[in-house]
Amino acid sequence: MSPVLPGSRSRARWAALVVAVALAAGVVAALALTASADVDDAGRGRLVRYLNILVAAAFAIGGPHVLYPDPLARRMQLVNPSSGALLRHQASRWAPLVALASVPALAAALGGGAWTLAAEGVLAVWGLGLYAMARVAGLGVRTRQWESGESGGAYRAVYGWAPPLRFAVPDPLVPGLQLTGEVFVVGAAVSIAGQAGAGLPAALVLVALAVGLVARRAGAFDRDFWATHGAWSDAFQHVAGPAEGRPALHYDGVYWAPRSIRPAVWAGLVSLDRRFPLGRVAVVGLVIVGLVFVVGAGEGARGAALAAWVLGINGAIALTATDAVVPPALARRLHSAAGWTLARTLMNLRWLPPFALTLAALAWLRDDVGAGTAAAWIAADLAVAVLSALVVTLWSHTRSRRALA
Amino acid sequence: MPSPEIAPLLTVAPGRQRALVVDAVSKRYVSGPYVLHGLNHRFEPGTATGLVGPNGSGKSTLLRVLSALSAPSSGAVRYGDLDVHAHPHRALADVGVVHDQPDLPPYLTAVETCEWVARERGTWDAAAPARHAALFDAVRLDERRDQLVRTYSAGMTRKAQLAAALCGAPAALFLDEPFRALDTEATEAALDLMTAFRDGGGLVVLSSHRADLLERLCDGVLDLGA
Repeated sequence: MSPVLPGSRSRARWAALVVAVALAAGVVAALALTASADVDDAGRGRLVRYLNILVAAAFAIGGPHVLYPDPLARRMQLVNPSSGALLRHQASRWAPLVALASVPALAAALGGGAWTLAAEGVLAVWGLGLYAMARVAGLGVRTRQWESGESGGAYRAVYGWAPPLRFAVPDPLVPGLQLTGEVFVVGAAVSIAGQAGAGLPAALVLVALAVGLVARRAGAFDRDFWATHGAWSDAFQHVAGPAEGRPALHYDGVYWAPRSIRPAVWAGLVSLDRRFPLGRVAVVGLVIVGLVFVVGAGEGARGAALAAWVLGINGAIALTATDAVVPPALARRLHSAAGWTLARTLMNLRWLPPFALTLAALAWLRDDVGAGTAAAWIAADLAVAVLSALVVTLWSHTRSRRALA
Repeated sequence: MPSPEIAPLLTVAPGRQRALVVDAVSKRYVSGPYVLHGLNHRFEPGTATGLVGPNGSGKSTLLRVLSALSAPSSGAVRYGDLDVHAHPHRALADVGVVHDQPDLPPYLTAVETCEWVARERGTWDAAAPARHAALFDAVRLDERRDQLVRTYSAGMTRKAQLAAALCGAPAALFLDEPFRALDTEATEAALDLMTAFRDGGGLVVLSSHRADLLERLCDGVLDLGA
């Protein structure tokens, strides 16, 4: 709960949130334990570090989007929190996710009684979480410097000379892209250091560095917070059209959806893509799945990687039930629960072809991946697509009934 | 006229009165067209200024920039000696804001919201409950002031927003379409409050499409469509 914003949620919603986080922690712990079953000490170490590389990717891509723009910024202006209160507010929003992200490493390490490895894994996640929070907070000031031409001159000179080297985003958003790479590299570096036998010292160094960064920002966190909120609000809430280089899905592009629910599928997909870079997450996830197979990880690790991809990519359909995409009350008037379940299932199924292709490629490349295994995972993806669509639709319709009661 | 009980909320001591200076401010959203271009203006304490212009001319954008919700692409905003975007906490300490998109704590009542704001901003004292009650009377928020904000109509939410902006005893008020959704009686009451605040030394910047009300309240207008 934010220490500066009382009255934001009812007790029932807080309880539901706590239960949801606990359930998520249970699921990821179970996945990690499955992945680490029957693995020797060296394999367990590798697994924890792979998991932390996955966490680094999640923090790098998701961190800025989770923290900014702050949906409660207008409410905060009523009370004008100090730098310290704003820092605590942001930390209170970020910490539960960092705690959740540290569960897989903890479970995988403690499953084999490897206490030092557990400490390394958890410290690496918390260090990277703090590092990402501190660095993301500085994005607003850097964005403004790039916007005014104070920074970014070298980059502009490079793409002036070689236009293909320009990123497909406006120049002021380049610091955000750079930070995505930076956070991932820092997280991956700690994992690599772990493989070289220096995992715990590297994690401790990262924690110390991150604490130093947070402490340095604390005094002027109000400037950083409002600047970054403004920059990300400008970028994602006040830009009139879609981002450069990402043409929106055309209505005719969803010809495969039944005519009666085609508008819902089309509007849902366009909104979902603008709300969250799910395509990038899907690609990164499939690359990681491929790597887990290519490095010859055990059955448990393979199963956990595949299950994490299937649950994560299909679970994201919950975003289509948020007020920002389709308010639940409106959703009920547009289609029945069955209609929305089908629409959400179809939205989920767009990820099935790349998943199936990845599995087919692995079955073709590797002798230890059979066609039966690939078919079983494709069937599992299909089942989770339907189930998650059903659960999200029932949740959305229940919310709507409560609101109208 | 507003009750004398709320005079402390509508009177700005001379030592707290500061001018707000917009210095060569330009604003564009990422790589879009300029919404504000090289804007210069000085808002004086004890005055009310109306922002006018057609839809999309930058009225809400300027209010977002003045209240530090968004930073200018170039230029600066100064409140007294303070650069608003370098020291937002210190600058906002004297500012009450009514945003066009309301955002009040849904699970607090209007009375609790004002108590929370006053306690956080250091204006809570023994006389505060009576002062806030008079403030709610002044904005015509009836007995439903004791109900949860989430149950309010658009007009009641606007009244609660205005009360929440004033209960922290600001020296400057930034208001984005403050009369929207208000009925005739509540509009007159809001106008009376803003007039009293201005006459008490407060600085008011507001946007509204109600030219008749701006004419009655404002000392001048800043035409962003010109």
